[in-house]
Amino acid sequence: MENSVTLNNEKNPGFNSAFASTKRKKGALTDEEIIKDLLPRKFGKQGIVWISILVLFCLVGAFAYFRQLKYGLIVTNMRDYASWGIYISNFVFFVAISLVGSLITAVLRLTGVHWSTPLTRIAEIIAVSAITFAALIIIVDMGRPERFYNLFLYGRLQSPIIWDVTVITTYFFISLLLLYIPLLPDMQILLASKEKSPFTKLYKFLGSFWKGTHMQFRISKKAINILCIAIVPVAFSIHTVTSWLFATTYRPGWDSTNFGPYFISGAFLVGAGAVSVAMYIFRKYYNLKNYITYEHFDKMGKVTVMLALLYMYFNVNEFLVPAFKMKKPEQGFLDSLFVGDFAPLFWAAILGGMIIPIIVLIFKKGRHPFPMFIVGIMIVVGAWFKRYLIVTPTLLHPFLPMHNVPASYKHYFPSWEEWAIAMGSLAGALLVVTIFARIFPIIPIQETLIEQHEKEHHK
Amino acid sequence: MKKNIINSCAVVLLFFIPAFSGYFAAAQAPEKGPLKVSLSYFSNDNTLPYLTVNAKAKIDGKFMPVPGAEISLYLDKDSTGKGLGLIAKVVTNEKGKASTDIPASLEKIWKASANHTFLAITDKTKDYDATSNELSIVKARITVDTADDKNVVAKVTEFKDNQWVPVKGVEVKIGIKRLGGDLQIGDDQSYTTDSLGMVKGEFKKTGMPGDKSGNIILVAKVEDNDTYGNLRIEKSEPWGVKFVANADFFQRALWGSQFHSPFWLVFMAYSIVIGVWGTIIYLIALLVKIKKLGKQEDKLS
Repeated sequence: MENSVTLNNEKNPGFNSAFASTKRKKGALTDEEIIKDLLPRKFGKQGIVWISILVLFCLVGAFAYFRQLKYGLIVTNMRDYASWGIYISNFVFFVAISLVGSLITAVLRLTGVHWSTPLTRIAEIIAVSAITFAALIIIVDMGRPERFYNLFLYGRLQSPIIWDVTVITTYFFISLLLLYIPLLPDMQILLASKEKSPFTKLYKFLGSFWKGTHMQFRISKKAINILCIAIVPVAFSIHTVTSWLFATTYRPGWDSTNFGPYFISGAFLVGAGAVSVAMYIFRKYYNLKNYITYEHFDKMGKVTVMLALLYMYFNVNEFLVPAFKMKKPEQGFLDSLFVGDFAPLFWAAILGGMIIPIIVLIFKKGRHPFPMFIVGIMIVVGAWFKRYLIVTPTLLHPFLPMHNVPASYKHYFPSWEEWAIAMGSLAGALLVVTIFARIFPIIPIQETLIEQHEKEHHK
Repeated sequence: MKKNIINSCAVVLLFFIPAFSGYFAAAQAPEKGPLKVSLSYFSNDNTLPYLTVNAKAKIDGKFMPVPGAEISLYLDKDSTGKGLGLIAKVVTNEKGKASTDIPASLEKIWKASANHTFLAITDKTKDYDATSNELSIVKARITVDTADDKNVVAKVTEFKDNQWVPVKGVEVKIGIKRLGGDLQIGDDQSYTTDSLGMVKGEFKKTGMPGDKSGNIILVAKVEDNDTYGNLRIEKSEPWGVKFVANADFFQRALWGSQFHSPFWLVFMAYSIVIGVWGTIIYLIALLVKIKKLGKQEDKLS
């Protein structure tokens, strides 16, 4: 059968491709069907329950933060030894997970990989949401947040903290642009949709100027290409600089030249895990089986195995080499990880966050949606605990221990306020992703239509 | 299916949570011994004396400071053994310590005798039983003088029969006041007073950094003496090396202040920032162009 869509309309190809009445070969979806499938939809009962739970976590976190503002950081269990606790672990986790935007969108796009198209927006919103909360959690870690502006007024260029602030801000804006620019053609589709939306004013504000002209497409394509190139070094910088916050200090476990690639490989892995989880959830609850297919899970699984192997390689370097030398000042720290207080957590993170995922994903059946979902959760949870293990054991084993400190200083377990704030921030990040999926298409409609047309054309 | 997902999530979490909780085993309530209170008497520069009180208790077999202990301090006892003049009610800090001056209102009692007893009393609390301790002292003072040949002479006298008389056999330390404590001036850690109540120490620490004029502070002190408590006196002498501020601090270096970053770092950092933000600004300009094209399209239609 003939496809009646006019793809070569110079003036308005996007509009035509989106709304022309189309007929497809048997089994293929029509444009209307694709648009209908991918338009954002109201929350069902499960969605409302999910949102309520997230809001509840956020409110408890906000209350805990109110207490921290009122009474000071004394409400936390951070003391002179563990002066960085769960907040900084959470910060590193958020920064790590945000790298997925550059992996899925930029790296795969630049290398000409097309299967990742339905996953780009999921990856980008995870990146924007995670980097936002990474910035917020740093402010939470400050005892006097009202003095934050001093960082910009008096910050020293020689300090990695200033580099981190700069690079996080930059990455946030680049990720936001990478989310926004590819969204413009979809905005036109949303505005033209017959279904009434409470967000029409927002769509008009953000994208009413998009008419889908040939020139607009050309400029947007150019902008996206520039963004994809620009985001890669910035993404590498953001996590390398975050690793330097640790590696430029002289402490057991942090005094390592391996930290940059160790952090980046870990970040790509946790990002891939997070995308796998999000893929499964959106596929199931938004009924996107035609768009996020077994093939996507299979390929994402292969990428995840590669990243897990890479991360394991850096882990071996990070732990085996110092363990081989077992320098006296580092012995306490390494013993606590391998056989001491932190050993159960350490081995759980290594097994659950790397080795088991590798074993499961090597097999084809392991790369099916449900196993991928479980493995994704294991990677994400393992990664969160791994960040905790990067921060805390080192602080509890300084090269030069303090004398006559209370016994409680030598042990760290977060207070309920710290837990509430950390969990609240995680819930907040999920809330941003959930609300975004309610307002905007979580799979790029325009790009899906174009790819569908191209497939038809090739056939 | 839903049940499957929930169960699987639970399994994943259960994989990590026991590992996490294994590290943080529940703490047992510590074993506490009785509260112990000790008193110390201090007289600096022979002026207003003050007391410090130290509260500690054996917790899990180790002496630990007791913060928040309320202690009443009295000067001398009446005939029934109760405190006579209330000096102050103090509360110990996080190090289990508190201190107070002897108030002017007790001047009459203070001047009435050369010997005094200080009494520390705590009431029963939910953690500790009531306890008390006392400290007896004889009023004494210490003076310090120097000679041209860089000798330091200290003299200890006690108040006896309405006059200050020299005391023999008191251990005196002579030192130089530094940031972290007092540094001994010569080879001997301490000196013992002769029949004139005097000790003499030779200043051997030449080349000690002083202030801008080369002044250092000499210290003579009696520490934890059973009869006289803690006495201390200071004297400034220009026996040190003049301090000259190191101008290197204001040179460009990695450890320099905000506006003293090395040039290579400034150049590199700003080049990167300008390069990346220049790209972002260019992208925003492209967005503006897209917007303009949209408006033109509107006008045409």
